[in-house]
Amino acid sequence: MNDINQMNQMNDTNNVNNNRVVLKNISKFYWEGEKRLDILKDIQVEFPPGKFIALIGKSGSGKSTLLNLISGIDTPSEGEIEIGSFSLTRLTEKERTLFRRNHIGIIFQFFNLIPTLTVLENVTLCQELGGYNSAQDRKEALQILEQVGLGEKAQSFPDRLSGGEQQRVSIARALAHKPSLIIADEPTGNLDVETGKVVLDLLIKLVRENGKTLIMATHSLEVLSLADQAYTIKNSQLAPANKNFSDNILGKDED
Amino acid sequence: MITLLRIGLRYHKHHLLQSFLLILGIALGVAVVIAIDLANTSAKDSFQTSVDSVVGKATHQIVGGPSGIEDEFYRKLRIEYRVRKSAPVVHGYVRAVDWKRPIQVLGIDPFAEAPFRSYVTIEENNLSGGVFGDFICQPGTVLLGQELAERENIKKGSLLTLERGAQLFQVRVIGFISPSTTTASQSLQGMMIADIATAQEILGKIGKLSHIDLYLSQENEAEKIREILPPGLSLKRPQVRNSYIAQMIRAFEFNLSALSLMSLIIGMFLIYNTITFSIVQRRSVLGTLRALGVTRKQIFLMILGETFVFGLLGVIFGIGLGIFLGKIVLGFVVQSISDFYYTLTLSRLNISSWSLLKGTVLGVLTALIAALFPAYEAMKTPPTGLMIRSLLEDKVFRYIPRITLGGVFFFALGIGLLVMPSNRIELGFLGLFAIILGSVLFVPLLTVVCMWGIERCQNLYPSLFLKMAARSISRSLSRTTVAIASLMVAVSLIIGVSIMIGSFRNTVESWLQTVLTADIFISTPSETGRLNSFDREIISVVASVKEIKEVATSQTLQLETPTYGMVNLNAVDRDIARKTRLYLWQDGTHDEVYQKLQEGGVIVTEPFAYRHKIKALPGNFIELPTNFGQKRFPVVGISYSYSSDQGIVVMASPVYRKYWEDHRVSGVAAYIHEGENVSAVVAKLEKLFSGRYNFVVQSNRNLRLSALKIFDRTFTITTALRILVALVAFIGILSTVMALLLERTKEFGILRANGMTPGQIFRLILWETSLLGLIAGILSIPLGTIMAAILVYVINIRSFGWTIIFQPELSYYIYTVAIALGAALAAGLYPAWRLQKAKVIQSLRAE
Repeated sequence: MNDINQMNQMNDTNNVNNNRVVLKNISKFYWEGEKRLDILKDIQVEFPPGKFIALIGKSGSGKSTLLNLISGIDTPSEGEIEIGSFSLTRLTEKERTLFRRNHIGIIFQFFNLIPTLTVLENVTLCQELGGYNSAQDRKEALQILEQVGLGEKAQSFPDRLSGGEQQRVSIARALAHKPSLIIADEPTGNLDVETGKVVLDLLIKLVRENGKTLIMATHSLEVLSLADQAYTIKNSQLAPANKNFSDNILGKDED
Repeated sequence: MITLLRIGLRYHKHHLLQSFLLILGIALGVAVVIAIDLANTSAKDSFQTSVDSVVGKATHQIVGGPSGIEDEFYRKLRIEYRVRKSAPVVHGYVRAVDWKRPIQVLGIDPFAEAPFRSYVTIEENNLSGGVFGDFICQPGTVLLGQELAERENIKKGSLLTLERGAQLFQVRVIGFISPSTTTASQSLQGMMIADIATAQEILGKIGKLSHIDLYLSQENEAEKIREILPPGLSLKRPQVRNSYIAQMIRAFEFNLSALSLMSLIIGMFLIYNTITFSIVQRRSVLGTLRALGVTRKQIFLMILGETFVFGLLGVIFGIGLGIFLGKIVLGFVVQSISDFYYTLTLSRLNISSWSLLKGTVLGVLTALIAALFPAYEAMKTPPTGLMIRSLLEDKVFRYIPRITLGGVFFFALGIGLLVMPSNRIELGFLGLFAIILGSVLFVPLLTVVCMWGIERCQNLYPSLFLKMAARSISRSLSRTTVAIASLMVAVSLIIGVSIMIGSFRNTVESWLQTVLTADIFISTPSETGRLNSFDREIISVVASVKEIKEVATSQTLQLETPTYGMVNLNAVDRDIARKTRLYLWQDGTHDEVYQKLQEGGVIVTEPFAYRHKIKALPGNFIELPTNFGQKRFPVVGISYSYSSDQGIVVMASPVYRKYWEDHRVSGVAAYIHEGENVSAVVAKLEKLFSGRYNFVVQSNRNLRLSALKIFDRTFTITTALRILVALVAFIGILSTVMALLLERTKEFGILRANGMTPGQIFRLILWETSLLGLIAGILSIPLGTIMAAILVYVINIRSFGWTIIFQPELSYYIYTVAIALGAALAAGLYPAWRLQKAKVIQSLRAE
């Protein structure tokens, strides 16, 4: 019974939709012997709903760590993360998983499709895991696949697709279960410029059309101009970035 | 090359659990082989030691029939024929009551001993004149080996109680001897020495000798002696006599060795899988090495070098474990040999360096052979390191038709070897191994078909987990099929051996019902499966009990023959199984056969007919040495019998007494009047014998239970071996499942990131491992049945010559499929627990 209650609660989209992502005094650090290594330190920020937020910073600055914390894949060492009325940091491991399954879509740099599932099965994975993969869900998943241009490859396995196609499947998977928040970790980082542009345009278009919040870590300056808000991570701290003047964003002044 | 080997071994250092399982797999395989070899060798050594101690330096022996040689002939030989280098010997086995085990009694004449057994001479042992005098003059005195006396805490002057047949004797220990040679020292661990008269009394051979030892320097001397031998006596070389006995246990030992090899074969799968994994996991390192200029040959040698090191480590542990197991196995081997072939009094494990060397070479070679193919695959890693796993799997997929054809070839070869007209057990086992190999090669195709079937069932029972599990198995065919194959072979072996033992047991049980028709059986206590003889006077004692309607007697003994080696002879005064005995062939009706038996015919049992090629036709006869020379006995029937794999010759008591002049009996069967209570009569007989004779009185039911107890005892090692083989297979599947799953840590991380809960991860993994186990279990049903049929119809017939009624039971299949499923599930538990506990972020970072 507990599971069912939990599921119902996690399924309640009203608790999440149109609510913001709030990070309160978030820190993430590791111990290397006696020495504390700060990845993120005292981060305080509020991301408004329905916006495209870009995170920019040099490699190893902590962008992926921050995304992992927001998606509940990782937990902060200190601080609290709220998404809508949920305090992510107060949820158990299982609750975080269910929360992610229902409310968050994740797009990885390396696509990370499940090789034993077909394209369509990958896209409907979250619904399948929740046990509510209805004919309507599959129909909608197919529509999303059509939108990303892969309607004909619904029954193919991921290893038969190109990198660009795999990332498009990944985008479809992130959207299919209608999450309110999309987390994308350098989604074009593993694609050539041209394919990357196609994928990015598609992602932003779909997110905007569906009114989702998108938080994306990127190295691409072009993405900055498309984002509603931009942030950079420097010295483990998150700071607003100037979307038009990117030299300092990429951290050249730090070198 | 050293640097490369270091790189290789460091990889294994970081995968300690996998490396440990690999070493354990090799160690267990080697241990089983060494344990069986050591036990077999030690049992043979034990036999050889007792033989050597009795034979000594004799070049020839004069032997008689079952009742032995008259004392008088020895006197004549020594005085009239002046054969000086001759010594009389009386030997046999009694039971040392306090030690609860059999002991050999060697009766000698110390004055004649010098040329033969120096260790029992007075000079060698510095026995004082007093001891020597007592030994010669005092009846009931014996000498013991120093070590045995110390071990059993026997002091000079101690009294020992011995039991022979139904009688108890007391002897006094008057001195200890400590021979200078190791063989003699060892033989004295299970022997006592008495003078001729004492030994004759203890062994019930008054006025008789067991044999006369001779030391003949020239063959013409032997010819002269042959000329003076009276009928019933013959001159033999001791080696020939011993070879009869050694021959008896050859099949028994060979079967054990072949079964022990199975553990190494299953170990091969484990080695293959672990090495393949390590190569797939290191593909980028191997690619880098190739890019840096390491040649293909060096990569090949690097992998074989690593395997060699693991093989050696496995062998080192295997030797230790093998010696430990060997001590346990030896007890069972000695018991079985004593039950069925000859009495062994020693059971000390001799750690033969030859056995250890064999185990070492076999262990290392097995490991290297198993690593050949993975090493070859590693060698082909391109310098880019892009030996993508899916490419390897695609290759396996493409090879399936060829692999299956290979399976057909080996299967056909196996059948060919099995149907080849031959009696050789080796060919039987080769055929069995070829069929196993053939079946293993069918596994990839059958796995793909099964997985395809499961996918098709999705319409009936849609399950994401089942679908993913089935696809994961198909996607990693190069590894999953090896795991399935090894589990399948182990489980088939369990099914095969279970059916064989079960069928055999049922056959023996039905047979016992047909041959044991009397109500009560009386015999002497025995630590072994054989009976001791006693005097006929007991028959009248039993017959005097009013509840007893009639009695039947039998005399069971071993006869040395020039034609058939050791022959088990059973002389019956009436055939208690006359109406119910089952014949393979009989010369007339039951009554006619019985009549012919009275007239001098013999019934031989099936193994005897098989071994000595006696056809199921009238006109056959066998030749046996009697007290009146070689005599022919027509064969009037071939009966089913499971009491000896050497076979038995049954004849009528009057015929036996006539030719061998032996009036003793070894068993009495009694029929009681209708309405009498068997237990009450048993109690009455026990009371009657109490204090006078030490007989074992058993009801029909109890005797059957005792017989089945010996049966079960005989198969204890087989059962233990079966468990060990299953254990090696379990380690194999554990190692495979762990590697397969841990390699996919990232995939599980992605699933977790996409909303799969830890519980769902656990379920998914258990689905996968259960499917592996289930396929192995299902595939083992046909293979297990085929193996059982080969064991029953080929190996058993060629080894022992018994007809076993093939009786597969559903329970064996259910039980063993459950074992396969359980083993696979158990193997999945740890990785499932580890992966469900793993942090998502760590799983995602895994490569």
